[in-house]
Amino acid sequence: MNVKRFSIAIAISAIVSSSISAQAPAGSVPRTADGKPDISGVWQTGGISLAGAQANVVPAQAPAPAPAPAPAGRGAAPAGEYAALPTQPSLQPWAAEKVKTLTNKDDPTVSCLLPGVPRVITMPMPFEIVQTPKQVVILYEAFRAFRIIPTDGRKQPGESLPSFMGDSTGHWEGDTLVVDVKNFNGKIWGPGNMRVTSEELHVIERYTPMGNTVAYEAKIEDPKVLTGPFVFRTTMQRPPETRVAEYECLENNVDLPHLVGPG
Amino acid sequence: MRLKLLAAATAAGLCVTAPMSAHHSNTAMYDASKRTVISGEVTKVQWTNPHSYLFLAVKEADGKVVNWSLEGFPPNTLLRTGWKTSMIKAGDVLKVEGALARDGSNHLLAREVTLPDSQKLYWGPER
Repeated sequence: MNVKRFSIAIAISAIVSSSISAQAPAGSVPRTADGKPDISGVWQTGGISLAGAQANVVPAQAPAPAPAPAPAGRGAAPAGEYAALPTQPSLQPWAAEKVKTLTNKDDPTVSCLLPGVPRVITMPMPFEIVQTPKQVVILYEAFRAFRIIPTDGRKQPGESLPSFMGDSTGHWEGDTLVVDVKNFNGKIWGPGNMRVTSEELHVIERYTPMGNTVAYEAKIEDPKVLTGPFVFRTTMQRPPETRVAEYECLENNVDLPHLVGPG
Repeated sequence: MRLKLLAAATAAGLCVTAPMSAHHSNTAMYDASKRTVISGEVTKVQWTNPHSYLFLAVKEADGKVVNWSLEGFPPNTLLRTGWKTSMIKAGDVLKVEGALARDGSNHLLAREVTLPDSQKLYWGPER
């Protein structure tokens, strides 16, 4: 991707992000039979495969390698329902001290553990949304994660133990799907440099269709770890035609002994 | 000009966010500033998760053969971006450019692979 195309892509991302709060024209969003926005199908927020089917083929005259597409929307001006919130976590002193003791080897995903919410959406792989009038199911390629999200007022049945992906329940607010996620196990990392979470982690996601993209916002609360809530944003895009494939992370996870540097 | 500023501002924003890494941080294992080019014969190809690997037998100046492990993108990513499993097989001679492992082991974060027919593809990210 040359500089011009990169700049245009960034500009589009920024425009999308900066207008999350604006009501998308009704006609521009595909709808299901019950009138809800249709967000079913395959999505992706970043990664080289968003750049197309020839993205890793070196052009004959390539002055520089193509950069991977940016995770769309990051770094853009704050906007949307959570516009007043900071975009970076502010850690409690004990959590900030703990982060100093952690290395990349402590990242749960390095051991192939589930990345949690919202981190799962940042993985550079596609995920598929299956939408019915009663629930939304999200099938992530990354770490074979899945979520079943009731949207008809039901609660998740039975007792569930705290978990990596938490318990999700959803509802529609106009054209925005709002998903409340709690009952986390305190073993996951949050987005950015939030490398500590507790069982009090509470994530409220907002999926707002914007034409052929979806603006994603997640309000992150964790009173035990954070001094206050913050917001994480990205943009869901349609990747070139593909299918969500198997990703068995434990198949050949051999790099751990060699992770000796920063990062 | 406006676009340039916007791109710069956004790039600055990206710097403080987590890299788009599916699994481990590449900078934790490889030093992107220390790069090399090796040539050798393919002994094995692993289209595996969480990363794909090429294994290359590289003959050094003294005639000793050293085995190198060349890490790349997950196989699903490679197959979505121009690779086919039929492109590489044991016995092929490849030239590979990439970043060296920080611990001095014979691991390379393989970037540009030159196939026997001179076609060039990226096997992994630059960093």
